[in-house]
Amino acid sequence: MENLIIFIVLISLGYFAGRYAEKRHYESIKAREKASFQFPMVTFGKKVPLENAIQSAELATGSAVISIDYFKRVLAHLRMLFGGRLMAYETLVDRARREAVLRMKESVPNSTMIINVRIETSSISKSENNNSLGSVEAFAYGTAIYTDQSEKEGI
Amino acid sequence: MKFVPSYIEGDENAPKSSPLKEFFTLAGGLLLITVVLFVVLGWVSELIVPHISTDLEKKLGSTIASQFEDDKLLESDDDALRVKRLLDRLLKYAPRKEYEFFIWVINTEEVNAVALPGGQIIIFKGLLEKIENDNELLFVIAHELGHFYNRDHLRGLGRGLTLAVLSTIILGQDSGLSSLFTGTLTTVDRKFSQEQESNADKFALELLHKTTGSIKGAMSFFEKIDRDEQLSEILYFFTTHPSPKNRIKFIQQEIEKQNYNE
Repeated sequence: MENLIIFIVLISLGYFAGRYAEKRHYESIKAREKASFQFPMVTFGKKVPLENAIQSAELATGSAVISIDYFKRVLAHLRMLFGGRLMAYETLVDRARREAVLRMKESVPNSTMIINVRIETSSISKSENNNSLGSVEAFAYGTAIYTDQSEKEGI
Repeated sequence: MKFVPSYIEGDENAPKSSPLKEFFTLAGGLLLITVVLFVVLGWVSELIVPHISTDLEKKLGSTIASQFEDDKLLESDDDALRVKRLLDRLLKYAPRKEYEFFIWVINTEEVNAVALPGGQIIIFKGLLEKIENDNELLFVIAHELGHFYNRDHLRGLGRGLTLAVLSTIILGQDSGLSSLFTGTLTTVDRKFSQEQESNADKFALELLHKTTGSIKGAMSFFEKIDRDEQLSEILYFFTTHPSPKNRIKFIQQEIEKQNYNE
């Protein structure tokens, strides 16, 4: 009986706290995306010629680690029985990736463009016999190039 | 090539969903499936149990009974002799069965009596101290005999085992989900157990009447328990036996139905 009560408490805590944190995070992500969408970030590199000469370049990275809450974990367990889209984790990975990309952009605010952008995701799980995803880390990296800013037309 | 910046909402990867709704749908579905499975298994075990021989049952019981070995009073003790004497009295009038019964008294304050597989009846010292006369003790022993004749403990074993195995396989050990489901299923199980208890009471009443010609001990024992019990009525839903009030009511109905003399 006590186990049941603890379980219900944890799951409610996970649900309310998790939903709140997620909502706030998404608001922050959207606001920053709106502010930074002018900043170019592309996945191609050498294969597309750039019009302006590159003056300097450096590595730009951004990473984010997002963890799941108890409610999401329970939901995932149930999903794993029946199969189908695991919507609980979709938001998790989405948030982590977007956050990582934003942080990457913010790490090189003066650069013209970030090229050769790649995003990698990995899971950080405490070793349990339940195969549960403890948290997910998204890592975005690219080359930030600095060109002559006087020419705004063309890249 | 010209870079034309444009703002994209970017929510395709995580569209709006209602996790709460999903949770209730999935959990509800799983609970339903498990309960149905559980009930069906209960019926199947009801069919099988009458065919389990007493020898097999004795083998099952010996492992459980050996845990009590150290606490048993010596056979020459007054209490042990008394319960043995009463058991023999009852067995003269009990229906035929290939059981060999053993009765023990355990020296703890708990007010309880249990029937273990293999014909083992265990009376706890606390119960003996509550009993005022032989008739009440006869009723208690007869009640335990009733469990044996109905093969109740075997049914309980079957269901409990299925429950534990199922939840461990599906949900893994020590999972929060697992405790949710075992909690639900044990509540369902309690209902079955309460019915078993009533049947055992019925058997005990009949046997008491056959042995002593009256049913004096039955009512007085439960009235005493009812006075001393602290649990509120609602909590009895979760216990394995009905509340004393319900048992008294049931016994009274049985007495009237069968026309036992007081």
